[in-house]
Amino acid sequence: MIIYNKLWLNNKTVVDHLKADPIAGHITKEEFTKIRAAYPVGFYIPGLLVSAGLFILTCIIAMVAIGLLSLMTAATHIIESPGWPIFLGVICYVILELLTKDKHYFHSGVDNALLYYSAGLLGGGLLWIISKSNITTGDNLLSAIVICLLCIYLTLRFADVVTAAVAAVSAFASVYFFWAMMGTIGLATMPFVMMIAAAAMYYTFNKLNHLYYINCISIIKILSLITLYAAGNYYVVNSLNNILNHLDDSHIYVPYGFIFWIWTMLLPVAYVVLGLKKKNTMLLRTGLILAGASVVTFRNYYHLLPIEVMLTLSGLILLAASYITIKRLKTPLNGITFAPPEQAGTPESLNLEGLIIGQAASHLAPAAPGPSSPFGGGSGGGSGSSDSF
Amino acid sequence: MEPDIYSKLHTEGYLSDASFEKIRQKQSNHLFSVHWELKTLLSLGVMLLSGGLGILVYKNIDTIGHQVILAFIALICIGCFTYCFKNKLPFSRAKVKAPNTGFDYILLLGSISMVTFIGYLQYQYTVFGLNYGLATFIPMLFLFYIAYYFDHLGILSMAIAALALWMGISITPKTLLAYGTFNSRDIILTYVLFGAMLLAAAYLTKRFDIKKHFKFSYHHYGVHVTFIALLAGYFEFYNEALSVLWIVILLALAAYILWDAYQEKSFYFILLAILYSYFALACLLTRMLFATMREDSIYFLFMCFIGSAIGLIFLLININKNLKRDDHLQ
Repeated sequence: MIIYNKLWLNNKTVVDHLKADPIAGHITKEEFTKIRAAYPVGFYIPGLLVSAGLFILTCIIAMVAIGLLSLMTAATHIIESPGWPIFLGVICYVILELLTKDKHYFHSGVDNALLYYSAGLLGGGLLWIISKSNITTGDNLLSAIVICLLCIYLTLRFADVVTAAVAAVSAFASVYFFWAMMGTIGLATMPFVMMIAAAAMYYTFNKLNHLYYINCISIIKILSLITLYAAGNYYVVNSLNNILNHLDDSHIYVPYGFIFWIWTMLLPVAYVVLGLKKKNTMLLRTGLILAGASVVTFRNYYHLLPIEVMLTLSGLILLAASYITIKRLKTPLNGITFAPPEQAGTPESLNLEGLIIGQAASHLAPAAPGPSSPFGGGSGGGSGSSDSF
Repeated sequence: MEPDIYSKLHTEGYLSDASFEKIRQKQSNHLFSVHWELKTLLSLGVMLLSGGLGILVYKNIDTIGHQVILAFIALICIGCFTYCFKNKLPFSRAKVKAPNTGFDYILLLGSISMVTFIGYLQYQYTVFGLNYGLATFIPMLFLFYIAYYFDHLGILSMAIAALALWMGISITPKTLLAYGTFNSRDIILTYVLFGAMLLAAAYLTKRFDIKKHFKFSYHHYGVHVTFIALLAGYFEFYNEALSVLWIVILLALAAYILWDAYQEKSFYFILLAILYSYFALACLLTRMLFATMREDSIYFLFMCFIGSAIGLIFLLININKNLKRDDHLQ
């Protein structure tokens, strides 16, 4: 099923696995060189920057080529039918297959761009057909299933993270649309059904340990964790309830609301605790981010403190808590340590932190001529500004 | 499956007994690192605290009194710097590591509150009068001094931003694109000057070996600012005969960046130089074709784009290969 040379894939896992060891001094450099020679990987795998450059250029080429073809055939009105994007998508896909086989590209930017183009064109064309055929009920479900199947195929073939993520999301959407067709009972039980679906998805993919698809499995697991949380998040449930019952946003009551509050508050904590216990970075980080989401959710309903007091207090608490934790973890505790992980290419090497601080602090306008924001209040959005990287 | 790989390699003879023993030891006391998580929480704490204090001061200005606020901010600032001066490692022209993890964050908090303090003084008491230049110049000097003295890349970025502010512009790629204040010729010229200063600073940093690792920050901001400003200049003077001069300067700059990037073996800057100059040439080509062929040019133009972009892809792949080969020779 997978398009790549399986021997090389196996060799790649071995080499990737050992990458950090010569730097950390566990094995000698000569040994690593010998192993690399014995386990050759013939793929073209450029670095992150090269891939980004190739990705941008391939996108430009594909865009211009599609424009050119559409322009040349504009007189025949063929572009006005859903067959046209599907035709273009098939061309993209064929080029993708040929290039990947011939040049041994492995997520090198060129193949990523072609993959997303063909997925987008094929998916768009199929959705167009569905919307044109005037199905009254279940067209959402059908669309979600079609996209899901398309992305599952592409993921199995190219082991791509983005298509895997889209497949997972559309799978959840299919469950949602399917259950929504059950009528009122379906809508009332929706959060629980989504929770079950997400939990089942996580459980299934947690068992899988397929080497070729390891990154795809990770992204699906992360999305399942997020869906599991979102399904019971009070804000999500409340908005959904309002939309489905045609209420406006002022309604903040949800039947059995306390269940969802407990869910919103405790699930991130459970993720963090489990992550620490099982030494699972993914669970830990997802839990930390979702804890932030929970705080925002809570604040959306209960304004216990004015925003500035909350910011200051939470900043103080965060600083104190992390300081104490760092102090205590100086000597490893229960196998948890503060020492930096032994990995090649940590974020520090990219100099990102400095750039992020620069980005966050660039609005700190000292004594800017203008009374509107005279001091550094602007940096309050510091956490959000890192999104731009 | 982890031990499998190692034992397999061991039996195949690729791993010596000593290395295998080391790996086994590593695996038996494998530790789970929460380094990045805690560091992120620390930065988040600093950001929240400084942001919250900023708003707190802003909202309560009438009730708590300016002196109290100033004293409070000054206290934080002095506290942070006292700590930093006490715990710092001796100054060196090379990279100096922070003595402990909290150090960088305390320094950051101190610097932000220092900037807030000066800004507040100026806003409330107009200490520098209407001389806004001076009011931005002094924090900038402080920030550069702190960045070099304590060796902090984040504060260097803040200092560069302050320099831009002093010159009357605001940088970082996001603000450059978001606010897009390229409508006046003075601003464009200031941008070009500012970018050239940064590039010069990058060159000098390396040439005289003062904090060599700062070069990347200078170069990064310098390259983006100068290229974008030159392109803006080209479009601003679009209808004048001199507009081509901007492109010529841009290409000359790209040649310099390329030369420098090859010496540093930095693919990032090679990529930037190539992409920016490609964009400039594409603009020039479009203009020339439209001038000569009018509407018919569009097909030809599209084909040109496709062909040149494919060519560029091969070029990038080749450059990357060559850079890597050089790496292996070392």
